[in-house]
Amino acid sequence: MAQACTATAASAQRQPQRRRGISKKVLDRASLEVPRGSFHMLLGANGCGKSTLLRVLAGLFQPDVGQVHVDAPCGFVFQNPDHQVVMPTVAADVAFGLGRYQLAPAAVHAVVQHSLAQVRLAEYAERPTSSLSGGQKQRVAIAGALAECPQVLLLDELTTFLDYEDQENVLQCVRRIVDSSRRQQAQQVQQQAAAGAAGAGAAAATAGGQQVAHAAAEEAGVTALWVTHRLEELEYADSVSYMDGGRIAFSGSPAEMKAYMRRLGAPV
Amino acid sequence: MSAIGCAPRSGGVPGRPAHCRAAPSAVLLPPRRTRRRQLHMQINAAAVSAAGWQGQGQQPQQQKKEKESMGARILAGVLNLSSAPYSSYIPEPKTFLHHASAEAKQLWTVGVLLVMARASPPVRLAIAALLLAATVAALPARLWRSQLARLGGLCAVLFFFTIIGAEGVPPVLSDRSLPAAAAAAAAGSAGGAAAAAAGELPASMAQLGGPPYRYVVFHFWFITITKRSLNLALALTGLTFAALQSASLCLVTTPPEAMARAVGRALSPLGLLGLPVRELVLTTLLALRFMATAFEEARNLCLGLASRGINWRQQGLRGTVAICVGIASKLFSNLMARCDNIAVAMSARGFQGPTRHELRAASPPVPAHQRVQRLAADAGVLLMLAALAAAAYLVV
Ligand SMILES: Nc1ncnc2c1ncn2[C@@H]1O[C@H](COP(=O)(O)OP(=O)(O)OP(=O)(O)O)[C@@H](O)[C@H]1O
Ligand SMILES: [Mg+2]
Repeated sequence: MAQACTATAASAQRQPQRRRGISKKVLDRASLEVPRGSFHMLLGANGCGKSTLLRVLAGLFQPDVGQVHVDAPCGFVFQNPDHQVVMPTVAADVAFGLGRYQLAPAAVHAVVQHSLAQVRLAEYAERPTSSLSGGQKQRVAIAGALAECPQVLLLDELTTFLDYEDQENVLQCVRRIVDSSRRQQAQQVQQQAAAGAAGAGAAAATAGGQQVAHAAAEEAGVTALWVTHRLEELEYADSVSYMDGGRIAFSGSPAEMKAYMRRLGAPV
Repeated sequence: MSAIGCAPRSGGVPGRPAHCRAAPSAVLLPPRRTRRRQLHMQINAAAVSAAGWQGQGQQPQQQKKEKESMGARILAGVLNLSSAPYSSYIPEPKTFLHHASAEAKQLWTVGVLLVMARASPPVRLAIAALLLAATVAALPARLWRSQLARLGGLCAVLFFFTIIGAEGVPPVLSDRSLPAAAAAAAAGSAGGAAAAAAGELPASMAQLGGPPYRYVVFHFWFITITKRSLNLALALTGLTFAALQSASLCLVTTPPEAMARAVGRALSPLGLLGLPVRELVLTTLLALRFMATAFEEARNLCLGLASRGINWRQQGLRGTVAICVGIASKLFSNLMARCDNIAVAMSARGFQGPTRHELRAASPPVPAHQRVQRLAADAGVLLMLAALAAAAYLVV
């Protein structure tokens, strides 16, 4: 399957204080590939470089060595929604990322309404952001990323500050976004195949339909890369990677990951 | 499926170094339900200790301790505030003021202040009454009750001290009576003439047929209330009330973005002179958004301080000041770190500087009937302002 984001042999140096010239190697030959249209989780201990890898993927850091390929546009949601939600009202904040495009007010409104509906906050459009709960704020941050119709969502430990219910809400919200984009994609493929079959002769149609289907699968829906500490979140994922000491130590399905963790001695 | 580059699969083999094996289990956390409850209890305990928990064991000493632990009382005061003390936008229920445009409301605020500053006492009272009525009509009851109670308290204190203080305190700086020597000389030469004049002058204006006039309205012991102090107190209280309440009404009924855009539009002529209007508007919006964050940061630091259960009396003045300075610098560095994170998040969202970033309204395109409603509301607000101005001009 086609990969939505790949980062190969990235080795990023982090410079805490440039003036003193101290730098620290955080990523060490990290190699990660994520299939398009999947919900991929990234596990790992504190300080192993998960956030750094995500920032490299988002283009916020440049790796010293290695290649990064990420489908554009790509949205980033940070750990603390208090830092990302920058406007005083919910709708204005969701529209904030659209500021660099030339858009008509009606189009902006439609996009904002759609993204808020995707995170189930449609009726909160006019609420002051300071009056929201942690999970609601986090969902507003996700809506802000969704407003730009991203191909890839990079989500950095969204559930750290959330209680159990909010954690479930945010997880289900991301799962729904990935699923619904996949479903839309499948429908489009079917419609295009049907249109192709109606237009051309029988023999040409099957070949043409397959071609269209293939092309559409190439641009499959939203891919989510979710960084987390919590093993109980694994059940929502399609695939998982485990990061250790700046490199990807293991990738596989959630079941395989659980087996791997058990071998490492974790109580799964 | 996904190929894993050079990352070693041998990590999964049981013969791994011990520290690697321990790493994942250290990462795994149980669901956080229990943690949250613990944290909650901790917060409660912290708030209690800030409010003078230490003294509860010894009843006789308790009062004395509470009196002295000023630091603890300030802490408790900060901790008891639930949110930043400023008015934020309330979208529901929609009232007549919600429909008026931000420009009209800003004009109204400025106009009310100007009229209040120039008007006679009856008009001032009328403006205050109008503002009161608008507040009660525009806000839900739970809000206007607390808001007006606080503002009323402030205004009452201001009124009380001005009305007593304006005349009651004798002027100490400059002595208006003649020096003793000069007074004696004046009495010697002009004594007879002055006595004659006093005999001819009427005792009061009332004898001349003028309207009754009393400069001193009330006098008791050292309290003197005169027309001047009454006027001054009314003007001061009226201005304070009008400034705070009309601004708060504006903030409560207008989305901050609309407010900032209106300010930007009003300032745009100055942009031709080189004033960075877009920067100003964005800064205003960010300030409105992060006021609550800064407040929360301060509150968290206080919470940390309270949970340590510091004995303020033992610290003395120097210790208290040292702690306060330490907290202030910590607050500053925390806020700086937050700014850093916010800047990164903003650039991740595609922000490239205020000149290249259009702030989007995200409000729906206004349908025709709502446009009429808005026009009517604007006209109503401006008419009211005009009526006030006319009243101030006519009622002297
Ligand atoms: N601003 C910074 N200055 C200096 N070093 C940093 C900075 N941020 C992170 N590091 C270092 O980079 C390494 C990787 O950090 P990173 O934030 O990517 O870890 P992480 O896997 O996201 O951890 P966590 O699970 O705690 O979020 C850590 O060892 C950390 O000490
Ligand atoms: Mg991190």
